[in-house]
Amino acid sequence: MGVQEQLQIATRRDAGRVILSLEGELDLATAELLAQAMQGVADDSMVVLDLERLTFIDSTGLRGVLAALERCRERGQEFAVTPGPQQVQRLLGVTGVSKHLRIVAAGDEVVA
Amino acid sequence: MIASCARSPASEDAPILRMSLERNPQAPSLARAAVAGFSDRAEIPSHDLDTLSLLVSELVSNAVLHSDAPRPCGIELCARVLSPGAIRVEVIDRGSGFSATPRDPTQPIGGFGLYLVEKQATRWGVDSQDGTRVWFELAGPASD
Repeated sequence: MGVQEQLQIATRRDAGRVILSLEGELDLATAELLAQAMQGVADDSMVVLDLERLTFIDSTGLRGVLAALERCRERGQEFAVTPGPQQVQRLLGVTGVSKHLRIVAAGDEVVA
Repeated sequence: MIASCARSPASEDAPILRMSLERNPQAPSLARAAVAGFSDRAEIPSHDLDTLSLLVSELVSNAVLHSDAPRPCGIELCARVLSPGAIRVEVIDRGSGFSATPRDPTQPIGGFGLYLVEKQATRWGVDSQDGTRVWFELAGPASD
């Protein structure tokens, strides 16, 4: 399975925010796709990672999320994630990373 | 001598998974898929599968990222059932080993892999003879 089948990232913009929707697995192979997607969203005031259709994340995937947060800090952008499925929530919780992330509601209710 | 899976104290009929993985970024995903298929046959409860997949992914990612073995050397993955619902997984690589410190406080990002193994496995350990063998066991429903 190539990385493109393993993770798809869709980008949409809405009211000055850009929402990157991740579908599939975020791990060692696919974290690079998130880094690439982050390069294309340098001019938006806020970046939201929609994690609702993430089927798997591990610590290397988490590192990708934290790298995205760091990019946003460097560029003066706001950054948030949606809660994601249980496996994602569990990993964010057990690592303590959720405390450092702004978590917003999923889907169309994503509001600043 | 090639490192291989430790002999099973369990019944010879207990399901065993063995696979060799190339040392590349796709290895964790392939390992997860294989272990998910194996856990079906091994009757691992589905609520343990998330933990199993995560820990397998962490160990194989570590082997890909941190091994000092030459590139052509692969990674060996073994899983076997210890008792109904309990499983042991070993990830073996030819590197000389790495410090089994769960989390390095000087690194704000990263080092979560072994931290997660320590936190979520029933038992785990590292043997550094003939390469590096990192193993963990999940005891099954009773441990939850």
